[in-house]
Amino acid sequence: MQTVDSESNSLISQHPDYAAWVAGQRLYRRRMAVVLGGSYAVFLLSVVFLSCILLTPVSVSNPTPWLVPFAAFFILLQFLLTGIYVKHANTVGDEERERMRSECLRLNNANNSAAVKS
Amino acid sequence: MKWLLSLLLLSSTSQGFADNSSVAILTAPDPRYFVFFLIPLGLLLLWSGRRIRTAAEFYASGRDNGGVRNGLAITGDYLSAASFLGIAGMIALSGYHGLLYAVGFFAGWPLILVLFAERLRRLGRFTLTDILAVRLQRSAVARVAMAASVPVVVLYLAAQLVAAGHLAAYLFSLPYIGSVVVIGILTALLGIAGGLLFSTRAQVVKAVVMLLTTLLLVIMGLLQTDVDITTLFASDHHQQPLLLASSALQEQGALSQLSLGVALLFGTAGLPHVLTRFFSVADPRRARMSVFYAIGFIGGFYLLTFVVGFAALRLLDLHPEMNISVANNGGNLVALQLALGVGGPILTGLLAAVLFVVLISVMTALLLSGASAISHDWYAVTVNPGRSYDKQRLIHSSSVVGLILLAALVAILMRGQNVAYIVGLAFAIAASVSFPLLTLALYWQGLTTRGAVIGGGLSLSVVLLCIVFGPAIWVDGFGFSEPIFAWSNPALLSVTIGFVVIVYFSLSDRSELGAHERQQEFPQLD
Repeated sequence: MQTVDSESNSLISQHPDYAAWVAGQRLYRRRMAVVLGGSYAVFLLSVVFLSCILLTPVSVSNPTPWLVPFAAFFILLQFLLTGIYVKHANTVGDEERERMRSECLRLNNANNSAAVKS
Repeated sequence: MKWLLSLLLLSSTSQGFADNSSVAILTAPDPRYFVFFLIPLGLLLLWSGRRIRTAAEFYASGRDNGGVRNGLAITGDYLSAASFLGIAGMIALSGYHGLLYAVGFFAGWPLILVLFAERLRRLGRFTLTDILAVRLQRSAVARVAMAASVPVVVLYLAAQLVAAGHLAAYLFSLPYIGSVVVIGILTALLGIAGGLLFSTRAQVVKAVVMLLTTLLLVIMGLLQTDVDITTLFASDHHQQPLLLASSALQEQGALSQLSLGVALLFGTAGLPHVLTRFFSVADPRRARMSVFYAIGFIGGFYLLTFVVGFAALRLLDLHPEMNISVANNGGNLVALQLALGVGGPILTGLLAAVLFVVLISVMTALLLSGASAISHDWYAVTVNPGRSYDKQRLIHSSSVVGLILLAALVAILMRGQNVAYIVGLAFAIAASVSFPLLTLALYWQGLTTRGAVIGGGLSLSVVLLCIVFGPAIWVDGFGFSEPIFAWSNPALLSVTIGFVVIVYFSLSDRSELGAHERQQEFPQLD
């Protein structure tokens, strides 16, 4: 099984923190997928089954129906959630992975040097 | 920008909206302005980037760019003039029903990023055939991937052809079928010649031009209809009181609505050109940032489209004699009619030129994608692996002609349909076949070649039958009085069937190959 990161994967998979890191990343992504999918489901079900409520005006002076700010809020929410995910992946996820990779690389180099000397 | 606005305001005052000259609104625009804008726009796109000839060049073209730039390139790649025209028309014809499309076309992206992007990067594969072939039999899955992508390409292409056909017919007062034939021939010639696979820079230009033109139309619409943003969305429009009342969304039927929502969410992941974009940026951090910016631009664009639809509805209120259905049954020209009403022939020419360029580039990209699936993924891999280059090129050119003929036929059958609706049907096919295959290939060890081939084939048959026997083709295309399948979009049923049959035929696979595939090491993708 050749993958782009296969070499890097096999290297850092030896790190003692790797399994916990993988489980954490997996859990985070699944939670985020549930939040994103769930918010879309709430939006869709509301539009389909609560249209009577969503089509009432925001106020007497503002005839815009609630559906319009609701849809705009949904788009903004998805954008913000994506931003939170990207920030997490680019900081916590990648930095931790990089730390484990460099530690494994250092250890690997040290072992190689020791083997050459002996 | 300021001088252009002044010019447009001056032009519109003499032409249409401000002086209540409804005749000007109903008159066809001046095609000379279209040509005037088309030439510099075409030259700008040609100047903005050399043409991409190989896949390696395509992938390499985005690697050194920043997040915003790549985000714009993704936006340029994804934004469809057909969905812009369709959503605006949908809102003007049926009010808030169009909102589902505007939100749905956007909502798939965040989910793709979280569910698929990381796994695909680690896997290093971005086409359905390559992803499935990591663990399954390449020749067998190439057939199912080809069968899944060709109907999506044909329907998506047909939607663009309907939009382009109506656009050309409107601009040049041509018969619709004649316009479809001429544009089909032009697209096929471009496809055979190598297409217009634009570089990242050209995609950026395309996105910027499309976003700015839409923004200009919104500003002009709000200025000229003399309405503030709060009253624009009011539900007491004179022209469509019933459609905008509480019954409007329910008229479509709850299950049809839910089905449409499912198609738009999951269909994005199954489109042939979407996943490849994750590979065109080398650095994963920058790739994520690119998608984040792209989501912002795409969301903003569809919000603007939403406003365009309501501004057009406002135009209907002020001009009751103007009937969108008369000009075009699907309401596909409403954005252009709004442009003519609020910005005169100059804005109409500008908008039409931008839309035309985007339509042509999307069509040639789709044609190449479909033809490659046939000539490379299917013919070269499964039918004749020892083929000559000339033979494969002949198959490629024949595929281009075959696909455009099929798409033109569908476009003629669906001439009265709203374009966003047709795109929604293409999304339904992608959501029913490609999405379950992709999800199971990336998340389930138990997927076997037998499950992918039989299950994928069955779910494809179900979704195609539901579309053919549904309201769009059976009633509006063939003229029958009642559809055999009542839902306007079948995705809720067909996506469920897709997952069930693929899992069932994988689990019931007792072959040696199936056992071997289940025991194979599952790639480490987290």
